[in-house]
Amino acid sequence: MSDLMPGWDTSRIASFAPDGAAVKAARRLALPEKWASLGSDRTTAWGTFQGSGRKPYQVMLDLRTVDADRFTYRCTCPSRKQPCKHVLALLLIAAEQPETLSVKEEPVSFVAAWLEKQVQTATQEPKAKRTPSTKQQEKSVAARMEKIAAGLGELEPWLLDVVRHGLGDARLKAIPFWTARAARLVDAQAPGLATRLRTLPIGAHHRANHHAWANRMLASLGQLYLIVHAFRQYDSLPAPLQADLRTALGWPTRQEELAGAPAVTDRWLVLGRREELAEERLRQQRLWLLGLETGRFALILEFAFGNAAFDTTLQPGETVEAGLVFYPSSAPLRAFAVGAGFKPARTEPNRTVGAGFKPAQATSVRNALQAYARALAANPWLIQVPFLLGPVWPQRVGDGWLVQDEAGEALPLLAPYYYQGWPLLALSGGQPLTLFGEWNGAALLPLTALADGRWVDLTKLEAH
Amino acid sequence: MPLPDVLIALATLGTAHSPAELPPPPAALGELLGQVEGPPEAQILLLAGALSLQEMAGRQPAKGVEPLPATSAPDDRPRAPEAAARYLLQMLGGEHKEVLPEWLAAAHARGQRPPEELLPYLLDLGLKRAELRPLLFPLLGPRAIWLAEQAGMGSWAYFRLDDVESVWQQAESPVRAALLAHLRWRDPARGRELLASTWRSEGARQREKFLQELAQGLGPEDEPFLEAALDDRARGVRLAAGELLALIPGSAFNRRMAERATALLSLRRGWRGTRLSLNDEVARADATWDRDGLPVELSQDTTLTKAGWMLQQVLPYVPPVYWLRLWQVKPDELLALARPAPDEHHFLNGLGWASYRAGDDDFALLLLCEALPELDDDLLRRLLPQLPAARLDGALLPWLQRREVFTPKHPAFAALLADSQPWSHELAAAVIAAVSSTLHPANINPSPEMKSLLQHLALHAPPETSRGLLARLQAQNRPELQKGWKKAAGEMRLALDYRRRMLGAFDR
Repeated sequence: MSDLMPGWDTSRIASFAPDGAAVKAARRLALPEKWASLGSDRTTAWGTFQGSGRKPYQVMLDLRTVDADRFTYRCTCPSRKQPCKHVLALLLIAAEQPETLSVKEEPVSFVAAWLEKQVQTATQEPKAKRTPSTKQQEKSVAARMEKIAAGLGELEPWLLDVVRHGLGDARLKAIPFWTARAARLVDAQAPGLATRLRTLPIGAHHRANHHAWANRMLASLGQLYLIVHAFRQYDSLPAPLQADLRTALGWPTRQEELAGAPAVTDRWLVLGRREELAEERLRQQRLWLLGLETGRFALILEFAFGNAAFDTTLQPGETVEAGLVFYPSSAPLRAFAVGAGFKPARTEPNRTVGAGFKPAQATSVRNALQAYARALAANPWLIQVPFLLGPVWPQRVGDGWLVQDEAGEALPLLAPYYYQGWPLLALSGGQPLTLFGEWNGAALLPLTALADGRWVDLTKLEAH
Repeated sequence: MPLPDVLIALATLGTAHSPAELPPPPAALGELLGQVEGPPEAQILLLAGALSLQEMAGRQPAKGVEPLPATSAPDDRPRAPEAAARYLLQMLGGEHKEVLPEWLAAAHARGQRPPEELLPYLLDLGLKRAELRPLLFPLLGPRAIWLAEQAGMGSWAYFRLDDVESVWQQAESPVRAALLAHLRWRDPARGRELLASTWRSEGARQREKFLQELAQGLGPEDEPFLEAALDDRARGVRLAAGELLALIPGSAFNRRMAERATALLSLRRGWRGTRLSLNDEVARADATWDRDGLPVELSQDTTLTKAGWMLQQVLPYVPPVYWLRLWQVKPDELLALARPAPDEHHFLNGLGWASYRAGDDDFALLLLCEALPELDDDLLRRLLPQLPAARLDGALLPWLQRREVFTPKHPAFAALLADSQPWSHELAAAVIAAVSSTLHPANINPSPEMKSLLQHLALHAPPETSRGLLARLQAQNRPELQKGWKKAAGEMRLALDYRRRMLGAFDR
């Protein structure tokens, strides 16, 4: 590993890239002989690369910032992707083959000029951010409320119609019958309801067992209707429940609105992560944390379009010191990090918790279900909650899987995502393990297992 | 989340088609619903929504399964480092999957065990990819046996040790073949006995297929079973049995072959020197030929004499050392005797196969040094993997160092493609030099054969192999060479780099 960039290896560079394609492209360029020149003065690294342009691209890295929040680099290529493949390739070379960079006392002229310019920018006064006035905010809130009210005004008779004509009839409807309605809800700025509609059991593959299907459909439509109903009484709801309702509508509180809110400072243990398609082309990453002092669960949401990569610096079992501000809710889970940024504590020699560590919050099946009931009573629109169970054993029952605790009480694992619990069983070897997953009210989606002192990200096994 | 049946029935039918009579809701809900005004559809939806939420909140734990499974036996080997495990996961997902065998070998060489969560995928591999079994079986430890036993009669049953007989009798054919391979690796006698236990009831195809699994762990104690299999009705079975008997030194099969060859061939010492001659008058195949899986009828397309053709059939089974003793000659003298014959090609290849079957490395290496251009590709593919790597390199290097144009017809070309052992630095460098020597303006693109060789090199050369080829390309600075060659050389570098990083991850 490089002494130019201690602690940087291929996977860390990959996580720094905008997407997987950029890493692949960079890997092809990370061959020193492809570069016209390569050099470093220990604090910066640079290279020139003959790309498709007339002039060679000048690529430069400020190695002093490599571990800071604002890693600075520059490439003269016209790519819109940042960092571009040339920057990534130079990073790879600097990390893997630092000996191929010729060592200089002084940076070459184009690097020197770049550094000079940076110093100038840093000393300039930052431009004052324009914050919208309270009046403007109120106006836009009222406008959105109106739009949503209009959208729900259309949704309600549609829902009632579905029941009037019967689910037997609805079952035969083509998918566009549902998705067109979902699109209308997006237009009405209630994307949360659109997602609920799109995730109904629609399409031919759901039609095998009518009774089970009708049960699920009716329950989901009923819950959707409860939201329509609740919105009518929005003004009379307590503030946290208003916030939960807005979240259910897909209109969560904005981070800026929470500026100055008190943060919960703790050493947060990363429990697991889950990537999911939230909407067409929009992917969501849920990062679940547990405060080791406070015992609180927290959820950090990230969104990415297309193939853009999520920040995967934090791995299950690692801890991070941070202050988290929780979004208002009657059962707060979602949070965002404030202050010095959300980076793992790299100063610690071993970022992961010790091998023998078992979180004290790991609990029995019964306790977890009770906690879920309390949360659901507070916020009836909860989609999923974190379950940290242990000690539990994975068990196969027929074609399905469950996890059971010492009391012999069990929860089913979610199908089809986890129709095969074999990796989990292999990890257990018949010994109990600690399991983290998301409970959706009916089944558990396992995300992480802690077995033999090892945190295993089960979602990485899914693709196989 | 079971909703009341009557509610589901009502909603299924639709309120337009049925008198809307709601089922009486639970007391608390009834009170709540009483406050809601609206059409019956609204009442149904509200009731369904509220009941489903109530059901979710009141969810009780399911009953677990008794008893819990027995625990797996411990594995004393340390687990492969996480960084190395990530490479395995990647390759199992299809990236650089051609490097997978090297991962398995590297973990085994270091006495490490694979990460447990990947055992299901490795067990799948053991069933589907028979060629990986020699690498997989030693790596899969007690946890894999335990896991296979938990999975019952499925596709991993070949790795169970708790009820081998049932698996052998009940499982699907591919699983049975894998079980036989597994047992032969663990306990050859037990594997043979298992096969013998159902031998009479297996179909001819099965008998032939299963017999081939006995190659693993083959020894003199297998001879009686295999000798009996020579009486099989199916010729394929006799051939398979003969092939195995030929690999057992001193087997009666081998003695019979030597006798046949001796009768066909004699050494004449005359005034013109010593030479081999064929005895055409004794050239007659008898019934024992058919039993030993040899063809009895002279094939139509041969240009050989009857005796020459018969010798071609039996020579590959006679260990070279037999002739050395019989005629009191040295190995190089035997080769010299084989050379001038009109059937030189058959003779040399026969000796090649014979040295492969007898495990005679010395003679095989002599052949490679002296007669490489004569040896057939399929012989090379079988022979080369079993030769000691360092000596093999020593035999191939001189061919590369000759000043001969390096094309797919070059004598070393096929041998290099057949050499899937780890290459030495010297060999890799010599190949790169040979390939580089072909770079000239008339050779703009590498041929498909040349690309295969570079791909092969990328997998078997030491991962830190020189950047020679790319450097040469750059030095040539000929734009017309850049595209095709640069791409092929770049891909080679990518694979070499991947292997270097993968192996590095083991020692982190």
